[in-house]
Amino acid sequence: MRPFAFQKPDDLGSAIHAYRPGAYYLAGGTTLLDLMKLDVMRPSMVIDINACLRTASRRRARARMCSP
Amino acid sequence: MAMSDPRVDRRRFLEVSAMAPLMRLGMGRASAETLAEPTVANAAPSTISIAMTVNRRRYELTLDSRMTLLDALREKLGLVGAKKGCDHGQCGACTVHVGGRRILSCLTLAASVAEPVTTIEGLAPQDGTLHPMQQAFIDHDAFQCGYCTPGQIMSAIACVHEGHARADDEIREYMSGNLCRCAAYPNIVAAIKAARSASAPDQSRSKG
Repeated sequence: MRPFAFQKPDDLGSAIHAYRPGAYYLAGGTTLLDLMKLDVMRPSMVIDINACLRTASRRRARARMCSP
Repeated sequence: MAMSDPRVDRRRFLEVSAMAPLMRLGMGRASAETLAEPTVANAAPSTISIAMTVNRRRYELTLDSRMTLLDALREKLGLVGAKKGCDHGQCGACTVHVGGRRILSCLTLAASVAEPVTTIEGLAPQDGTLHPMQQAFIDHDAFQCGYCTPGQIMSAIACVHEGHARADDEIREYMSGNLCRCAAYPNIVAAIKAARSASAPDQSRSKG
């Protein structure tokens, strides 16, 4: 696998802000990591969005609980 | 067990024998560095520090951003229970639990792990008794060579925990991500059924 910079933003805003050409978003990873191992995908940066997805789903859950 | 002597285990032997030709190469005209992977101009290797809880123990690690959870467990922490079968997410031998859910550690970056990890080494309680699923695999002869077994057991526990072990067909479907080249499948299904009945009140044991 080729070297890449790794970022793990806490919220979706930072995840979008972190993007630059050559970057890829990492969610599950079963396709991206597999293809990176095969040298098909060659991201210069990987942005892990799992943390912000968790934050987002917690916020959604809170919103559901608070809505009448 | 014969493997318990740290001085002459199979792993150490393989490491030493793999190093020998490299060292010979280093002494000759070519240096071992020529075997290192070529550097890519646009991205320098990135090292990151992470904290990870594995089998209820906390570890602080500094590793390459490319390192998978499987490599971190095996190479950094010495937990070699999870196996590297295909390294492409097709065989399931590397299955571990993250946050109580089964994942393929070969397709997970160590840096992206945010929840506690449980490996096959962390299943059995300190008193030496086995987890009901481990015992069921032994009782039902659910393996031959044993290479896929750690992954099978981790998957089997999650399979029961998810509630996908109600019928034989369902077990086969939800265990289909774990391959067994010895084809011990009928016995694996039998073991899971037995463990499901035995551990019904205690299915959350693998969590955390």
